[in-house]
Amino acid sequence: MQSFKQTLKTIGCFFLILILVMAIPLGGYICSETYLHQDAREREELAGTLDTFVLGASHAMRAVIPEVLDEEMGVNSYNLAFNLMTMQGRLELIKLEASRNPVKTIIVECSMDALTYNPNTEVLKGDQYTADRLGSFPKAISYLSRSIRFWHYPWLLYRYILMGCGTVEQFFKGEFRMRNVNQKKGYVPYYDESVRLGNTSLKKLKKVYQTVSRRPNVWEGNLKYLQEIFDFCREHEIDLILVTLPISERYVATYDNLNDTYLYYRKAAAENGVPFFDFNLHRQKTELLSDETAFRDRSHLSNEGAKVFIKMFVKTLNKLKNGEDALEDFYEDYPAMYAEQPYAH
Amino acid sequence: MNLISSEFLCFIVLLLISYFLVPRRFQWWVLLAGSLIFYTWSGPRNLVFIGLTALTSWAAGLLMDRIQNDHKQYVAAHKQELDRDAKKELRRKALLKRRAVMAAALVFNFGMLCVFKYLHFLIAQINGILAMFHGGAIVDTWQLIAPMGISFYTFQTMGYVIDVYWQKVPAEKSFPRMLLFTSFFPQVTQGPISDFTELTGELFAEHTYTYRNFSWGAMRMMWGFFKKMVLANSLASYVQDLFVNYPSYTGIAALIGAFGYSIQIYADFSGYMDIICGYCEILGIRLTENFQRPYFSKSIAEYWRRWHSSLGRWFRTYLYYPIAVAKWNRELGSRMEKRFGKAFGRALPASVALVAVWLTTGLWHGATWAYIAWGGVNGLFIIFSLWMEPVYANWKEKLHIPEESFWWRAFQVCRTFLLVTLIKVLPEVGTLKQGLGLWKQIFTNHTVPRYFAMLVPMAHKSYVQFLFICLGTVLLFAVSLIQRRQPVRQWLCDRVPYLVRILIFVLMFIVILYIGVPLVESTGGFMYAEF
Repeated sequence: MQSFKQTLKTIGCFFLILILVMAIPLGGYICSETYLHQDAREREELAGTLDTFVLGASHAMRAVIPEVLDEEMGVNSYNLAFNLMTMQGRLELIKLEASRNPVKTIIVECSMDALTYNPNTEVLKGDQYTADRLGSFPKAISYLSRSIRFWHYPWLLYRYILMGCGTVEQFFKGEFRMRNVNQKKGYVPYYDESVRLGNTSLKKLKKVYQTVSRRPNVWEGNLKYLQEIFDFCREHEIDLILVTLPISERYVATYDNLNDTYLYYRKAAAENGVPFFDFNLHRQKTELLSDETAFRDRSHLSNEGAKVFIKMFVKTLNKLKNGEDALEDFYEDYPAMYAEQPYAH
Repeated sequence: MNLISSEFLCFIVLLLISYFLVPRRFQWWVLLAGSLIFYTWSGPRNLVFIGLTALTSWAAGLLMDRIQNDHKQYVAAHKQELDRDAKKELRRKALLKRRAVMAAALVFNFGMLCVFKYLHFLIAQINGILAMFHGGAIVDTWQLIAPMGISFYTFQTMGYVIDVYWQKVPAEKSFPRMLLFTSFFPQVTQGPISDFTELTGELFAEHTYTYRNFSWGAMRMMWGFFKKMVLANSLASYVQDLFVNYPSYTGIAALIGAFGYSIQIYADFSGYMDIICGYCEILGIRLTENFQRPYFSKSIAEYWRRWHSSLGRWFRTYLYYPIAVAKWNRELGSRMEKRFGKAFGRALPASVALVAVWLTTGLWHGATWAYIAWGGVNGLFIIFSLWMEPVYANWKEKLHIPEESFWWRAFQVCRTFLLVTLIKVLPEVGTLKQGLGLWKQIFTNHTVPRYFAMLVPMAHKSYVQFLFICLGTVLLFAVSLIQRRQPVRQWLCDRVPYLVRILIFVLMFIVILYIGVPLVESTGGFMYAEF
């Protein structure tokens, strides 16, 4: 019995010292330039003034430039999107911002991952990022306890240790900064602008056309959170707009089931009377957003691509605002779009 | 189940709890269940092969035991009727029967090992020979996926069969016990290749949980994870780059890379040993040690007594001695002694045995000509040292070199490390031709690197990793130095306060998580698991 007690004491001491040791670098991580915490502080400073929010995963973070939205549409917007953001995370952030801002419009990015992520079987960094963006420790703990299953807690501890160590590494490299000057109202352009996906030839597109099938294995919980977003916006008289952001033509050509995801969202949007735009179906997409210049990788817009896209987006939003038929610029669905693509024949 | 995985960590924690919760006489059943679960995890198919090995060894042991008992009972019963010659004849017949049983077990099990590990090599050689006459391959080349740890468990159980034949150990009566001896999970994938008496003595003893075992075992496990995940895995990409792109390395850079490989393989293999020995220590089980600070050896022969010593001991016991003392070999030695002198006649039988041992060791490590050459070169150095021993003694006397002086020992250690490193890289580059190409690069490309990045390319790619490689190597060296006098854990417990000791291991844990875990996917498992 004495041995067991001593063992428990040692294990306890080990974790206590681990937490104490990690507290310093984690403090650095929380106070430093990381998008998440800086972003939470910035939003707190702007509280009471913001009326438009963009939510979504990395596609949205790299694509929607709030400053352009503000200038072109006369709004005061903020891009809340971040890597791997879950549907639950989107709902949580909408609720937080609506409680302290006169929110009029919310734009939610719609991707296949946002429907398929299942917290029972996998654990996403997105939940951790969302917790960090909530701005306060109790809110973060509360969110994590609801979003991450207890069997994934060691992973969470591991992630925080990694982040703390990352801060120490930055400090020794002389890269540690208290503020990220690159971040503008949540939009984070790439540091290195030179990376491009590169040109995709017609021959290559023909070769890869519909060769990969990625059936959406939708988790019911995500649909529930999406419905809660609809209900919340309706209750608070907030205009909700669903958007699927453009991905590279190489990606669009490769998958044979993008239409399935599209139909999910279109049905949900129609049932709730919410406009939905899939920019992969935009008639000018291939012309304006070529793989060669507009994309950094298969699914993310480059800084240059984001500048082009935001104009397309503003144009669509203005049409919607003026009561015009914004959908006239879009194909009906993916089969209709493919029918006009040279690589599909 | 990879040792570097969350599944394995959960598995060993559950096993540990079960082991100390059940009544002590059932503890080995928990180990057996754990071993079977662990082994089945690698593929249920593999269970058939390890089961066959355990079954044939168990049956062979029992059969040899029965033959011997029958023989003894018969002689005892007919003591008055049998004269000396009749007894001798009966003993010879019993011996022949036991030998036949042993041979059957050896042929079956080594045959299975050969089919899995060497058949594709044999077919490739046959194809090569036939191609010289017919201009193309004749036999289809195919390779079977060898069951996990087949080289290790086959050698371990065959050691038992030979020991029963030699009547060094009694035959094991219980099949579950034999199965545990064959499949004990910590050592089934990479050894150590244990002696039957030693291992079963530990496995079937009743063990009590003690804090001392826990703390010492946990410290050793943590050190093992550090060696494997931080040091070995960080070096892996650097070494891999050297092996693929060696023509672009300068001689000195290639040599530094080769030293990197020496450290990598030591950290990898001894790291594994530390993890499993540490875990067994918590259970109260002492495993055979495989490493005794091998890079501090003063000769290649000594190095091989201190590196993977359980394999060395197996070859020494079951191959070297039987050949060295075989009647035909001793007769050959006597004949040569008459013709070429005493020294030659005495060294020859040992040299013949060494050639057999080293070619087999080469083949054991891998079915390629590069490994056979590697074994051959090792054997050649050892045989050369054996033959030159009187000459060296003469030189040392004439040059007044004090055998025990620090500088002479340091010279011997450095020389051995250099030679061992050069021999080690030979089969690892790929083919024998490529291995020789790396040697050529080291010895003939005398270009002086103009930048540090040309000397150690990895420092340029990731200097955080490079920093930890340097720190880890220094730590490895320091630990080895402390271990000369006393176990490093004893040193820590004696000199470092409790909380500081925990702090050291907390920092080690953080480094493992930060540097080691992200490397796991890119570097794969343990290197010796491939043998």
